[in-house]
Amino acid sequence: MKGFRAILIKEFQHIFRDRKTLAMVFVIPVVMIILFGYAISNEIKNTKIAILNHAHDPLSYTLIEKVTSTNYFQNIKFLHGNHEIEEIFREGKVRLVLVIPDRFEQSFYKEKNATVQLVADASDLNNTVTLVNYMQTIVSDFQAEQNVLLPNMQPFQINVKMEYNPEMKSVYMFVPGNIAMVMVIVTALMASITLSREKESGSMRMLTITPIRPIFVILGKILPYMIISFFSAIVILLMAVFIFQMPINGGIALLLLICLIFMLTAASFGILVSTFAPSQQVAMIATMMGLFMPTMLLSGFIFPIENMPWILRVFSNIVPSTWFIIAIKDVMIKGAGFVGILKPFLILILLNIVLITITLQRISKK
Amino acid sequence: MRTVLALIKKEFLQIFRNPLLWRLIVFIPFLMLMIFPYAADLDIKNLNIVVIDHDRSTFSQDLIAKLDGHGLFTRFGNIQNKREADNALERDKIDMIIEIPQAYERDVQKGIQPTISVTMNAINGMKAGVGVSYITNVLADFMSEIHVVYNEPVELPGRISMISNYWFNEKMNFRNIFVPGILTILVTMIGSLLSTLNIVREKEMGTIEQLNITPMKKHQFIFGKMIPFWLIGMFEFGVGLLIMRFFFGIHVQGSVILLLALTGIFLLGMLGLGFLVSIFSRTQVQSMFIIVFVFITFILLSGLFTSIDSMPEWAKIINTINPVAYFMGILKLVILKGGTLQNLQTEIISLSIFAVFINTLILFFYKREID
Amino acid sequence: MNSIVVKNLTKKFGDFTAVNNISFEVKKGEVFGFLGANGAGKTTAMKILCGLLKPTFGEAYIAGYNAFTEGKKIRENIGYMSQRFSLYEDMKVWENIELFGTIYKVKKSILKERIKRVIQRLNMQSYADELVGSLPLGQKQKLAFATALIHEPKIVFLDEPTSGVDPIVRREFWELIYETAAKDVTVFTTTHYMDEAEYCNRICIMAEGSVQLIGNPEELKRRMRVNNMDELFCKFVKR
Repeated sequence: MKGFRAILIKEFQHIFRDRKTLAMVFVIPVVMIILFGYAISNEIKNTKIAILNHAHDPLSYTLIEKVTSTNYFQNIKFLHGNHEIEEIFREGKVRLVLVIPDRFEQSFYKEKNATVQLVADASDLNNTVTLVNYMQTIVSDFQAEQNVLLPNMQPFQINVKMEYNPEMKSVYMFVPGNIAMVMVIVTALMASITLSREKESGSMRMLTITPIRPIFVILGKILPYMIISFFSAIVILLMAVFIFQMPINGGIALLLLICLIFMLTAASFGILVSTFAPSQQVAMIATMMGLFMPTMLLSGFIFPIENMPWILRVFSNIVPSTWFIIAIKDVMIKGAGFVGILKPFLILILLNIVLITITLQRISKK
Repeated sequence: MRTVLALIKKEFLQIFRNPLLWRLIVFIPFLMLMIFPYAADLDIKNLNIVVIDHDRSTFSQDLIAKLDGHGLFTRFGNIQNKREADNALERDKIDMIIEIPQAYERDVQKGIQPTISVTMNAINGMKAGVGVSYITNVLADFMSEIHVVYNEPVELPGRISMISNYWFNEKMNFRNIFVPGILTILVTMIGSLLSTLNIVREKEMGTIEQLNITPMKKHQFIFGKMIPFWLIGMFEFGVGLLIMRFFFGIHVQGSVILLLALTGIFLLGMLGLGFLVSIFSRTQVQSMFIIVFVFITFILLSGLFTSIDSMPEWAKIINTINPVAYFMGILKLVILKGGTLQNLQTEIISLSIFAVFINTLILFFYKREID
Repeated sequence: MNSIVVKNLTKKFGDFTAVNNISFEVKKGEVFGFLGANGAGKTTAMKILCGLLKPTFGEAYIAGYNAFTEGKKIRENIGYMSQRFSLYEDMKVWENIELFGTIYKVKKSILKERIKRVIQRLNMQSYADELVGSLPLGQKQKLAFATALIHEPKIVFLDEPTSGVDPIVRREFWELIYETAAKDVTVFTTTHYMDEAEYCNRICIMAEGSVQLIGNPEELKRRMRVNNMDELFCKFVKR
């Protein structure tokens, strides 16, 4: 036990001496949550559009007035011909072009049917569906307004209740994923790198001939990173609550327990990688590809799992982050208790057991 | 020249001597390129809904049929009361509950304004927003249809319909955007992470000392380190383009040569950044953290995941020095829109300035002395 | 003719004076031993002489070039073998020699000859195609020495070249050193081993950044009335 403590202290000293890395460990999560909270929003405001008006009649101007009076759209240019649409898209200045056909007013009043055309630059698909829907709503509204003489539409009310996230903030989606990412970076990545560095420099061999059991050697090296990543998880949670007003509806103890379990999973993954990797570089790349990228892309953090082809959906089930994110969301947002998250919890434990078993086998073989 | 060639040869020897490393460099990126674009689909293709029909009338049945016919909504199970529905919502089985009020049909016929309640799981704010805007459009449509049927109009009202066209990506396939996006991430990461780690590793192992003691000039060392990784980056990009063309069927609309030339400039900047980081780090871990930090910021702000339009001013300001954002713009423009040199002036100038600036910094900061 | 001239050389890192006002000269073809405990300033002094560090003040001429202003000229004319083994372990024996030979601008045809000769001299014919990482430590050190000499420098600096090497290889190593010195190449070496100090033509003992003693080992022993180098060393270092 004494040896274990010695290793622990040595590793802590090592960490605190390397100020740059330590700073990064805390700066990365803070910057990420700020980016996700403020910059990476799907809010639609002042989307730049251009208008190609072939009609030049009073009704067309009224429609343009109506479109640009909302906060959603901002007309930055009037085009003069169809050929200019491609050009303005290539310049990348606008995302939508509204084309009002010739004889717009006449078609509307005489033929009772006018058609406007909305051209979207689909090389950027973020929010495109929403933008088109907004334009559709504005056009429908406009149609209703122009038919004031007779009630065009049966009025109705739609009473929308946004459950769990009334303001539809994007941080609600991103906080759990963010914690997962930080834990993967700090725990798994650092574990695999630290251990393979010992291998690279040959000092691992020296440690294994000491009377301390190898498992304690490894634990002593990993524990500091686990503690640090736990701290940065708490920093993220505090920021989520106090800066972005995200609620913690469930028990805080339960929340921390899940973080702890996930951290263990990340640590065992890191250790497992280090048993294969001959150098820090390889350990780094392997952890990035094996756990970091799946956390970014396959865990439901950014991209919905339901849209993936079945084989990736199956694979996402063995990505620990998937279950971690579900559990965190349930506890924080829905206020789930232990029973509520039993499934993700048990799966995380199971994944843990599998990882640890394989790792122990690899270690004892040496 | 001979010196630089010898250094380049040395790097390639070392990479290929490390069987795991070169396999990782060659295979992992392509595996990623072939798998991850399938995961990246932000489109809202399906919403699971429960409709609680308190009215059970012809009208309400018609409305439900209209929802079924829309294609976006899938009705889940046979839930008929709110409590069960709430439960399903909490367990993520469904995304939305629609309640049709009692006496819906009677109210509509009498001209009384009915209220339809929609409860949406809004944890995913974007999905909730899109869902609500769809349901509003469907309801509006439906109501105006039944209005025409039941209240015989004196005069036919005028209609304005809207046709939408999606240019450069007609089927609105996220893959068309994400394949170039992943390619950018790959080229950036492989190029600069590998070069940084490589240099810092030489510091850690002490081999750099033996190089520093030689009469080799500064720029020879810099070229000797940058060219191999530049070549690797270009190789990755080239093969990535082939995968894009033959695996995903995405054709480059513009000039491939232009694309390669711009990738070359971009890589120069990113490799320079990697080199610069290596100057200021003592250990591989340090350099990795700095690189990961810079890249996460660059990539998140690059407009791949969210549109730059909807970012706040400060993010747009950061983007004026974000090479990844420029490069992402270039890829979209050349690959999807067939952009030419004229459309790319801002991007080319910005990337060139970035490359020159960073590499000047290297010349300035790189010292062979160890103090 | 002196190949190294050092006058009042000082190097400070902030408040800390690593090398304090040292002066000495080394003759051409001499084997010069640089002794001192860890932290005595040996490595710092050596790095200045190699043109890796700039001195704070003082004068230093290496092979006739000024250490303040002619770093590049110095690097062209010296060889250096660092304390940590710093050839590339993942490259073959001949690849390492070739790499450094090329960097030192040895002509291609000449280099080919030299690689052959070096490998023969080191009896490494059977190792030539092996990765350096797989060699025993002693062989590695000999290889590093030979590599430091590939461009036929006027002076070669060795930083604890034989630490951790078994006695037989150490003897072989010193044979190499004498062979080199016989070709009029100055050998400047630091060492921990006192028996090795006796192999040097002259030694310099450093402590706390300053030169304590300089001279021929036999002469010094006589002058200081000690029986062996260990005693001599302890006398100066333990104070």
